Formats: sequence, structure tokens, C-alpha cells
Amino acid sequence: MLKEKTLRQQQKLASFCRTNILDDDLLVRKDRVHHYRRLVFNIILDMMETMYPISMKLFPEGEWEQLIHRFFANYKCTDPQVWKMPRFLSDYIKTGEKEILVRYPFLPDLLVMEWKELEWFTNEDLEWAEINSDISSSEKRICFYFPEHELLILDYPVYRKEGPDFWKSNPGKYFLLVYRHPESRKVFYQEVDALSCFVWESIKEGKNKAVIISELNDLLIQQKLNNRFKAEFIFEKVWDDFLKLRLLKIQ
Amino acid sequence: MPNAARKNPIDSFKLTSPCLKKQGFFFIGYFMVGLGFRKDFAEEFLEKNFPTPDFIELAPENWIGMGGYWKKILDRAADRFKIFTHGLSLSIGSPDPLDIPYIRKIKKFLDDYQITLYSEHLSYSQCDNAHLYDLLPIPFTEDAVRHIVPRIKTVQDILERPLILENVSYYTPVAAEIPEHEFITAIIRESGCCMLLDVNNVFVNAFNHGYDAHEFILKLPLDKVAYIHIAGHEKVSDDLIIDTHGQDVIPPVYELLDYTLKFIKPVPVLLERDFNIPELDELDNELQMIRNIYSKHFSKAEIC
Ligand SMILES: [Fe+2]
Repeated sequence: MLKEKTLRQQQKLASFCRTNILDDDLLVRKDRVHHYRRLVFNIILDMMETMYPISMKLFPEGEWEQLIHRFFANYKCTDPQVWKMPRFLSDYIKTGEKEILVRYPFLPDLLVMEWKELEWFTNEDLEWAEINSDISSSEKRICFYFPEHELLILDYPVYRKEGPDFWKSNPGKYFLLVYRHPESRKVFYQEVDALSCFVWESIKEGKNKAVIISELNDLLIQQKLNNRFKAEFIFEKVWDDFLKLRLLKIQ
Repeated sequence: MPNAARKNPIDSFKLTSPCLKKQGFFFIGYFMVGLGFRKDFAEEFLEKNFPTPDFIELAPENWIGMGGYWKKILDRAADRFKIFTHGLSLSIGSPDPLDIPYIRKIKKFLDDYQITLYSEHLSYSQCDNAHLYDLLPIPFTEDAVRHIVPRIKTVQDILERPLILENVSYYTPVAAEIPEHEFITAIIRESGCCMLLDVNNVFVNAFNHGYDAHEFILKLPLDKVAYIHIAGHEKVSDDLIIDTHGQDVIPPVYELLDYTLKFIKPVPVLLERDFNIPELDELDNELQMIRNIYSKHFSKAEIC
């Protein structure tokens, strides 16, 4: 059993590394212990800078480092894999950084978008998944979708090139497809609209074409868009778009 | 004790472990000089087919659960090289409970790639349920020994492999009650695990804490050494060296390797280079230096 004294010493050293609060009772060389905090933050800051090059540049000199220091002091990173640690930053900002959120309300979205690029670059390989056989055409060929993708729902258009002022002044609902190309294994983003998302999710759920078109039609009527859009046309366009993206294949 | 009479301690474990026997794990001593496999140079290393270490070492934490590009790289490396592992986040000396699901993930990774050698650090990197992602020194106390020994056994049981624990470099002792060598020896002896002797860490600690590196090495449980590390470091002030793995190995550390090999049986030696990575031919020069020293003590035939 670990004695209370040993336990406390270990806790105080770890806590100092995270918070920079040095307990007088920590029995270490006070002239050297700061190296531990420095070395910990070498790793943390390096990882964060690599992961979030766009987010980092929003901040004036020194403020990004201060934010990361506060994050690491206040948020307990529970993942043993250090490269997954940056993922927690957006959660922390949403709950623990009100002032930052006022200045940069789009920051959680931007962090998620930057994180997802790495996440999808590294995610485990997934197999092509078969989808409902009567969906493509009367030819009855077998269709598959590639599951290495994700639809992100964002409150700010952080993927647009216009930059922070534009993002901040255009809150809304934005859909961003992030996917890993089946052959090159590179990660790409693609802006999509809400109706396309609906169709795509329905395809993956295994609904047949007639059902999807009927539901889509109901949706268009409900949204008073039926004068401008035809359900069949939207379905075909989504089908073609995802074929071009290589997220669909017909065999 | 003549070299020929010495047995690799990992063999003793193998003989007492029916699981290892069943899975056909074999003696690791065939592999002499290895190189730390880093993503920074992975692709170039595999493309050029150079340098040609006898094995490579990687941190499972940096590869577990990866698909896509990095999985392809790992698979290519695994096709070409024997892989040894050196974990980062086990935190064997932590006051927190062991992360059993994570240890099971490591086991799966080791099984998937048929890796027999798993080493870790005699340190802690997690406390109060928060990972620090760096190695903190454990207080050298008898209660810490009693705390760590059963944890080692648990890890070995789950992994069905011996745990090989490394002496770490440290910049300040923390509430130490017993000498460092007694602490290390007690843990290795009482748990029955193996030791990874990092000669650079001995050099760094001897300098930082004012003791003799050669004398220190002789106080370690040398019969339990199953693996050796060598690396570069950085002197940051007149009385402090930081163990950076970011510089070339210096002559006194090569000398310490030479000295150490006189007292142990032939075990693999690994060159660690994690930062400030030079051109691959410079790394090859360092591997060659290690080979030259190694071959003074052990011939290839001897360990094959
Ligand atoms: Fe080492």
C-alpha cells in the first residue's frame, strides 16, 4: 500500500506540472523541479500547435500559450494516447472559457474541424458497407458506401476562406462532410446542404429509393420549398455527387 | 561470470510462462542493434531501405488504433523488421489504478504484430485521473516498491509477456527514503520483471546527482537486464543535463555502454533519437558505433 505521504508527494508533483502551483511541502529540489513543467508543456504545446495551426493564429502573441496552460490545468486528459489529447480542447472551451467564447464564438467549430482532419487521417480502416439493393436503378446491381466519413453540423462557416470576421457574423446551421479518400487515404472537406444530408443519411440507413423520395417530398412541402426543388432531382444529384466523391460504388 | 554462462532473463520468464510457450514466442537475443522508429523519418527510412538495424522499436501509444496512411507504414515496417515496443503511458508508478482496458489494447496490438518485447518506464505519467504525457520520478520509498510490485504482476498477466522496466532519468529526487539503486533493484527482484538498462539515463543521473555511473551500474540487478537503451542528451547548465534524445550520443556514454556489456549477457541495444533527427546516414553512423562496441563483447554467432 502506498503511504499517504508518498501519495501526496506524487499528487503535488503532478499538480505542479499542470497548474504551476508549487506546494511548499513538495520534497524536491526547488531549483530544478520547474524543468518537469517545462518538459510537459513542450509536449503539450507542440501537439496543440501541430493540430490547430488555424485556431492558434487567431490569438495575439502569448495568449494561445496561456489558453493551453489553463486547459491543461483545468481539464483532466484521460486518454493515454497523447495525440488524442488535443481533441478535448473544444469541450474545455465550451464549458470553461466564457470570455474566449465571446471573442471567438466560432472557435469550438474551428477546433472540431481542424481536429477531424487528423482524426479521419488516422482512424481505423473501415470496410465498404452494402446498401439497399433497389436503390440505384432498375439494373439491380449491388451498391456500397464508404463509411470513412462524417457529417459535421456547425454553427459557423469556419471552412469558408473569408476568415474570422465573416465566420463570426454568419451564425447558422452548416453541414460539412469530412471524408478519407478510399485510395489516396487523404482527408477532404466538402460543404453540403441540409437536404443532401437528409438523402445521404437515408441511403445509409438502407431505405429504398421510393421511400427516400417520398419523405424528401414531404420535407420540401413542409419547408415550402416544393415549388423550387424536385425530390427526384435532389436524390439523383446526391447520388451522382457521392459517386464522384468515391463514397459510393456500384458493382 | 563468462558471457556464455549468462542467460537472457527474458528466457527465464518464458520457461515459467505457459502462455508464452504456447504462443511460440522465442528468444529475443537474436536482434542486436536497433533503431527507434519515428514517424518523422518512417517513410524515407522504408523507401531508402536504409539504415538497416536488426530491429526497430516503437511506442504502441503512437500506433494503436491507427488506420489509413500510418497503418500502411506500420504494416510495411512490420513486414521488414522485427518490432520491439517501448510504452509511454502505462504509468506503472502511478497512485491511480492501472488502466486495464488500455493494457488489453496494448496486448491486442502486441499479438496482432507478433511482438514479444514490451518495455516501459519505471516512472509515472498519470495522477488524479489526468495524464501528464511525460515521465515523472517516483519517490524512492519502500511503500512505493510494495505498491508497484503487484501492479507489474498484473500487467505481465494481462500481456502474457514479461514487462521490461527502464531506469529513467530524473532531475530531482522526490521525497526519497532509499537510494535509487535499491529502489530499482527491489522492484525488479520482488516483481520478477526484467530490466531495460538505459546507459544514457545512468550517465545523466550520475551527472545530475553527483554519483559514479560505473559504480551505479554494478549495483543494479544486471542478471535481469533484457534490453539496453542508448541516446543523446543536452547539458543545460554546469550542473544539469536534460535527457532530450535530441543530440548525438557522446563518447562517455558509448564508453558506459562498452563497460556495461562486460557484465551482462548479450541483449539487444537500441539507439533512441526522438528530436532534432539528423540525416539517416548520420543515424547509421551511430548504429555502426554501437555495433562496433557490441561486437567487442559478443559475436553474432554467440547470440544466434
Ligand atoms: Fe530509454
